[in-house]
Amino acid sequence: MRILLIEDDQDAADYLVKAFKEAGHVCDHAADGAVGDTKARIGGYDVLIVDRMLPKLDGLSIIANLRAAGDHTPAMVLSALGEVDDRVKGLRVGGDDYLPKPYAFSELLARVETLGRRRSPEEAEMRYEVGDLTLDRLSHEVHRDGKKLLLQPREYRLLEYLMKNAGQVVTRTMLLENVWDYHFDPMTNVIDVHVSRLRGKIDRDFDVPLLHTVRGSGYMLKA
Amino acid sequence: MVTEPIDVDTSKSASPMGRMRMLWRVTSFRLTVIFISVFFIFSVMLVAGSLFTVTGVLHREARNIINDELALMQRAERRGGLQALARTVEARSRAPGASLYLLFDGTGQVFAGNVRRLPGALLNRTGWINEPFEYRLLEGFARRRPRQEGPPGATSAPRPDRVAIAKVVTLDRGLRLLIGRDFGQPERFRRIILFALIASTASLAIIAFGAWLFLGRKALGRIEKVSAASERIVGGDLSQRLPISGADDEFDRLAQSLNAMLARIESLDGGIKAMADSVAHDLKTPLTRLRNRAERELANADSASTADRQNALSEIVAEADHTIRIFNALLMISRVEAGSQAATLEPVDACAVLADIAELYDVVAEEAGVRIEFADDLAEAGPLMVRGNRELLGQALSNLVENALKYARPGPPPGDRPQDEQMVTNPTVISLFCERGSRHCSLVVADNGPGIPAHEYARVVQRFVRLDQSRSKPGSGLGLALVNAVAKLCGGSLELHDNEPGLRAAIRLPLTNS
Repeated sequence: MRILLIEDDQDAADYLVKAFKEAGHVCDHAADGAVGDTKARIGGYDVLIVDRMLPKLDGLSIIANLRAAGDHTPAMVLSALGEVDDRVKGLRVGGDDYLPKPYAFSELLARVETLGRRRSPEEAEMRYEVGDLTLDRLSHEVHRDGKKLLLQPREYRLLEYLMKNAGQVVTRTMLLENVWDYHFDPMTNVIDVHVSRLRGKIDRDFDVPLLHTVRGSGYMLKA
Repeated sequence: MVTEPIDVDTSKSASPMGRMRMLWRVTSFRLTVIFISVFFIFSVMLVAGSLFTVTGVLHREARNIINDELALMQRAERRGGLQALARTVEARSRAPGASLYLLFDGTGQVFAGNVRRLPGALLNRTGWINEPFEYRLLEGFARRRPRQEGPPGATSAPRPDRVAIAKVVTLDRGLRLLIGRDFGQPERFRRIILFALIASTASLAIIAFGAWLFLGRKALGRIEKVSAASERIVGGDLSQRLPISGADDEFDRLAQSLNAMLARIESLDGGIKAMADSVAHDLKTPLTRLRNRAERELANADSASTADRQNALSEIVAEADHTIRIFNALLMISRVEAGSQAATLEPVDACAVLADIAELYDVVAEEAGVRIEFADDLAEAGPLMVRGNRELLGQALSNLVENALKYARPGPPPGDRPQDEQMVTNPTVISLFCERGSRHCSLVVADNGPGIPAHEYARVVQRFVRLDQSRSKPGSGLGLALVNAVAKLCGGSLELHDNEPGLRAAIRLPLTNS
């Protein structure tokens, strides 16, 4: 995955470029808004990671410029301003995701990988399959190994999101955002409890576990 | 509005010119000067107007008298010719309070009359002489005095000139008759009025100056006191208040509102100081722990196994995350309190948010042996629309639920049914429900845990206040502060009550009209 990182903090940028490289991605770095804008216009990236406050040209303007030019490369906005209104502003100009600083790299990586895959036409898929687990989006039925599983509506949506991003790490905050549509940070392990409930239904009676816990990051559904 | 620069001190060392300028910048002085000028202009206009009117009336009267006298003379002339006329003139001249009479011909020869002296140019004119001229009567014809013989032109004791207006008519054979009326009185009247004008203006100026000295300086003195008090406040003593004289005038009202403002500032300032202290304490603690762990790990770097090192590092990350979380919560509270998110307020179904939170925490509570009861019987009555922010309300309600979970008595774990009688009769329950009023609704999170003593209600909504002094339970002491801030942002309030037993926390919000 080719990533363009527009970030003026040199230390943070060096760290991120190295970390993305270790995760198997190509990461290009631009140190200010103007360079970032030019590079983003030239294109060829799968995901843009844009800091909000940049010298010369701010991050939101870069995204707005791209969107005005008809470029829909997924963009992740990074910001020290982590509040609800900032998130709304970031998403309004055409940002696809928003992560307040300071963040865990695992969180950023999981989100960027999800964003990078978003271009594939999975929206049209009516049926998800992971190993012997199938989810039918029309009938809302879930089967594993031919056996029908009974899920609560919220468990169904949780599984649907995990299957949509099968093979990728999804973090707890990503689950809270996409399944419950809330962006706050619960103190207790709410998401873990929900996931373990789901795991009980899809994995307990079967030999091969599909829902894996990724230490320090989140969860992954994988055959 | 007049703003006064209160730099009185500099005037003491200023030059006379500068002092004058300073004086001009004092409102009371400026107003006094302006009022005196305006009063002077108006009195001049008033006096001039009345003078004009009075003079006009007197003038008209004098002319009427002159016309009457003239008619009398002309009748005498028609009856008895010039002889009769001359006789009449002589007779009239001797009457007390007489007018001016002069019968003369083109060469200046006087035949009869009582005028001793008048401007010679008048003798060549005919018709009305309206501009008052100076004249002198013959000695014997002086006004209201016994008659004395004497030809015109005879010298005598000098008498003050008087003024008169007159009319000259031409008779037969080149003879002319001047009849005039003394006008000395209007002139004197004019002088009296002028004197009155000057006297009144002068006395007004003196009174105004005195009033300024007394009132203006008094006001100035009070302003100086206020100024001095302000300087002490600016100097850092926020407990200072502006002096109130007790007169209940504008100054007092102004001082009262400023004092109210100062009280508010002082309380806010106190809040900020208290918060800064708490921030220092509550952030130093995890930072110290973080540092100690990192240091210990550094010391053991050589001997520790990979697994140990990983454990230590993840502990350090967890500690850092905890610190970041406190920072985020603090930032969020102050931004919500500052109202910077007021723009994100929009109609929200409060009951739906409560249902979301109930659903989110249901399984968590179950794991902890606590039952969450969500009464959604109000759902049929339609949504509870409030002006709020779904995210913030969700966060606030989750804080309340997490508090209830944290402080609830630990129940039996699922699957391990209690043997204890009391546990069966009194299981831990957290109830979530909406209350709908006519104008308000309440989102209630009630538990039957230990609760909070009533006298602590006001304190627990402050930042970093934790009743658990040992701080053994995890938490930052910011949860209720955020709930309180969110409730206020949405135009509502956080109400804490005794649930007998337990705590009943209600976010009370105004319903929107829709």
